[in-house]
Amino acid sequence: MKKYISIIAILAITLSSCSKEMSLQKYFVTKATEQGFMSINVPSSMLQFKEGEMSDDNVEALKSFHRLNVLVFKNDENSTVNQKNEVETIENIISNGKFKELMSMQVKGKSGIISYSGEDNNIEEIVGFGESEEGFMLVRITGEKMTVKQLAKLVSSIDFDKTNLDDLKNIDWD
Amino acid sequence: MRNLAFIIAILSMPLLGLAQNSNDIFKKFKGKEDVTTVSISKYMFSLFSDVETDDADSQEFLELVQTLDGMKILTTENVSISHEVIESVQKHMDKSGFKELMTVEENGKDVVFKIKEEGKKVSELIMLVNEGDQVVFMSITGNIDLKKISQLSKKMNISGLEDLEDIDNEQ
Repeated sequence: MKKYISIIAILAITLSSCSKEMSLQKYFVTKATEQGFMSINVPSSMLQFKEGEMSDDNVEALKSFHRLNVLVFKNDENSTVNQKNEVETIENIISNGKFKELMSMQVKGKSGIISYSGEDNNIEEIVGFGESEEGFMLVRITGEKMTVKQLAKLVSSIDFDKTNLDDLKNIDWD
Repeated sequence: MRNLAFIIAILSMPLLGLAQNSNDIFKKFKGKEDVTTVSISKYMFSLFSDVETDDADSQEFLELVQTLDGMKILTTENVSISHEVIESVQKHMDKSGFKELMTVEENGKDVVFKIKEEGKKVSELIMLVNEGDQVVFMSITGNIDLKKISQLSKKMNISGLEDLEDIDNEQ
């Protein structure tokens, strides 16, 4: 009987995934407005760079970087959201073959995984997912033809003092 | 209940005659309280293939990691889990035909390095560090050049791995 149910479940999953595969993009959009979730959206235009460091290389790197999405879920007692289900959905999305796992970590009940999609010299998406009993966080960097070299350069040239995080307050804090 | 399931799982392992590999050990302990696991995939290593550096050591390090398939580290400070880890790893090393590469014993710290060979290539390097109150188990897979592997210890801060730097002297 149990076997029967699991076969049906597997069939249902395969069939439903054929017709409408849940993408990360869809997940972000759906959850952004749901209660208990908080979403942050940072376009590349928001980042401020150190003076004199806006070299051609950096311009190139910045062009390849499109945006950063962050989705945070905080698990509290009143929450109607079943974290386990959400985590399962996310794990399904990031293990569906499109994403390659770079690194995973489990530390004292917390777990984290970093994956990417694309090729070595053409990264399309980097996804970080961290989870603990208190909730979870999903970070997504999208771009076009990003490389590790460029990303490293970009991060080192961002002027975090000048990048105004107050801008975040206006965006999607739900 | 969870304990019971765990006991049954352990008891049934030898019964089923499961051939354990290093991954199974990581799977078994992963996510447990008091256990830290880190896993780095070959994709991570290959991402760094086009990174350039002026430093010769770093260059060598980057070249080395290109040849690796993956790296997994497990560590715990929980005494009873430590014992389980050591037992599992030792059983695994005995069963899977690992050869001893080097052992280091100093100040109550035991470090064992074992390798698995496929043909003339070293396909897996295992390190087990037993410091009494802390255990570290590490597995590196890939096409491993033992002469170069000590580069890892210079660049990565993993307890025990520095002993590998002596390997050139021993061989």
